[in-house]
This record gives sequence, C-alpha cells and structure tokens, in this order.
Amino acid sequence: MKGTRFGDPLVLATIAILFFIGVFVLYTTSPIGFASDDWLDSLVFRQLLFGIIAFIIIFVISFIDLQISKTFLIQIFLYWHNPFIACWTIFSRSIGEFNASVV
Amino acid sequence: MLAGLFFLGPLVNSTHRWYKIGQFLFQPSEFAKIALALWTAYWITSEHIKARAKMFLGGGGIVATLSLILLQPDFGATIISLVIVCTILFLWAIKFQLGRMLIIWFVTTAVIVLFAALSTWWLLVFSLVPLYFLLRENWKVGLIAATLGGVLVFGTIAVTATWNTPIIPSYVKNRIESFLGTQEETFQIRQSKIAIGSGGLWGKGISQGTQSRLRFLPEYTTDFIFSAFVEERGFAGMMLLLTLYLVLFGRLIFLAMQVKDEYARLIIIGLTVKIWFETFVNLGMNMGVLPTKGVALPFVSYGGSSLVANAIIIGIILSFYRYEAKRDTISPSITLA
Repeated sequence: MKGTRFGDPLVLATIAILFFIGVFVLYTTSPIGFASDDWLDSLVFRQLLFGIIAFIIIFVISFIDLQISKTFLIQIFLYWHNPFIACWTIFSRSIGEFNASVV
Repeated sequence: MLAGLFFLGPLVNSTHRWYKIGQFLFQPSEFAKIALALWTAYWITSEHIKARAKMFLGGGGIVATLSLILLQPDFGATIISLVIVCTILFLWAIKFQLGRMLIIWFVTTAVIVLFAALSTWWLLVFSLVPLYFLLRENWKVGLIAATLGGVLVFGTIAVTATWNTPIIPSYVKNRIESFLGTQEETFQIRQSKIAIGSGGLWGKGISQGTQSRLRFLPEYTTDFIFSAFVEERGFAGMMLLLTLYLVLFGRLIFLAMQVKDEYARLIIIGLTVKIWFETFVNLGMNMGVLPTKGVALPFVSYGGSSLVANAIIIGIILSFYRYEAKRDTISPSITLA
C-alpha cells in the first residue's frame, strides 16, 4: 500500500526516537549541583514542549495539499521573510499570473 | 524578518541571529532555509512567470536572502542555505545537456581552484580547459561561466590576501586554522574528542558523563550534544544514532523517488539535503574533522527554532508524499498544478 493515513510511519517513528534520545541526554547531563527553582526553567520540560508543538506542526502541514496550492505556500513563506520579493511581486504586472495558480 | 534582526534582534555573542520572545530565542534563519528551498524550486519550475522576470525575481530573491543571513553574521547558515539552493539547481539542470556540462565545468573548476589555493597558483591554467569546452558548446553560457569562474578565483585570492587582516573575523580564522592543523585545536574540539573517546565501547553509563556534567564540554545541550550522548552511551549508542539517521535519510530519498511532480521532488530532495548536511556538519564538528560551526543536530539538539523548522520540513515532505499517493490511488488522471 503506497499511501498512509497519517504520513509515513517509518519517518515519524525515527524522528520520535531521535527526539526522545535528545530529551534523555538533556535529562541525564544536567550539571552536578544544578537545582532549578522553577520547573519551567528545566531544559527537559522546554524541549518536551517544543516536541509537542513540532509534532502538531507535522500533522497539520501533512494534512494540507501543498502540491495543489504551491503558490500559496510560497506566499506564506516569502512574503513573511523577504520584503524585497513581497514588494516586487505586489507592484509587478505578473501578480495576476502569480496568483492565478492558487486553486 | 531577517532584515528586522539588525534593528530588533539583541546582540548575542556579537551576532544578530535571534529575536527574544519572553524567555525564548527565535532564529529566523532556520525558516529562511525552508523558504529558500521552496522559492528556488518554484522559481525554476514555474511556467507562470515571464523569462526576464524569472531571472530578476528568482536570482534577486535568493541573493537578498543569502546576503541577509551572511550579514548577521551566520556563516554556517549561509553555507547550508547555499548547499540547499545548489542541490536544487543541480538536480534541475542535470536533465539538460547544457546543464550537465555546466555542472561538470563547475565541479572541475572548483577542484582546480582548491588545489591552486592549497599548493601553487599556476594550476589555475588548467581551469581554462573546461571553460573552452563550455564556450564551444554555448558561448553565452560560457561567458557567464567565465564571469562566475573569475569571481571564484578573485574571491579565493581576496580571502588569501586578507587572511591576516581584521576583515576576516578572528573566530572564523581560529576555527579554520584549527581544522587545517596550522594551529592548536580549539578548547571545544579538544573537550569534545575527550568526551567521545572516554565513552569507550559501551559508554560511562547513564548520568556518568563527567565532561558534560562537570561542564568541561561547552554547549553540551545544543551543538555538542552528540559528544555528551556518546560519552554516556559509547560507540554502541553512536551506532544506534547513526543507524536512525541512515533510516531517516534513506526513507526520505525513497519518498522523493515516489513523487512524480518535479516541483515536489526538488523540494523534498532540497530539504532532505538540508537535514542531512546539518547532521553531517554537526557530527564532523563533534569529531573534530570539520571546522566548528553553530549547527544543531537535527531532532536531537535542544532548541525550539531548529526543532520546529525541521518539523515543518517533515510536514512538507509527508504532505507531498501523502497527496501524491492519494492521487495515484483515486484518480491517476489528475494533472498537478
């Protein structure tokens, strides 16, 4: 079966193992004598928080058909990052053609 | 956002690489790498943009983004971004005969310039041979190649000439000289090698890593987390980690081969190369065989920006694969945008 419902299990499993190896190392290498007053300061907790966000991001993006809306994807990334491209695209005549491919 | 770093980003280690949001640091260059991959693939495969606009928009966008990353300054991120762009361009160009010739010319010239820089400059004469063949094939492209070759040669000469001047930052010089063996290896590399070597076959054991826990190893939660892991889990742990990366990259390349759309395939390969190159540089840096660079180990190092950026990459790749598979199963006749 070529298609899978939630992406590719092998890729997701490998990433999860790598991530938890990182968290484990953060936990075991906390310096001797280190005592945190606040559990929010703990690197392990923060990394777990980032991990949850990361896996949510993976699932959300993998449910969007980026191949159909590739111009939309480009716009999200490049308008946000590069004012040069944003200005040029907005003021050029090709804006109509540029947006026409958004389905 | 990259431009805003120079005004709003705090000065951390003499660089403007991060935005400070509450207690967290946010690194926009991580996301700029994804943007560059998407943009390069869109630029070369899009049929909606006119030829002249294509040159201006595509080339200008790439150069502007790379310049903003370089000015932070972040040499590591610039090199990784360049590798992503070059990989996508090479993969696209290889389907044309002229593209294949250009790649052969580029690789041959780069090797000759490298040899010339390391030994004697008269070796540069040999770079005229591939240029002659390229000019004979297509004189317009040959002239562009000659200009690029000139920039490469003069750039190398300029770097060599300004090596002992303040133009080249001292930390860059120290790292490269340490890597080339012309000066004593840096403190970081020495501590990293001690950590890896002291791990032995099975490692010192959980929470027994003295290099990291006694703070001899710098940046043991980010750049040098590999050394901290190998110190505790040894050669066996390292092999497990490398096997996991091998499985991941193998699978991602397999997914790229399943996708028929050129745009999607170029992006998957470009982004896979991004993760692979970061892993390669980080492992090389930890083992002291590559110069020290602030590059995180993907999915393992501590850091929100790197983890979220890599999650976006995996999401993009899985989306391309998932919907390609769906189209194949449901309706093979659908043409892609």
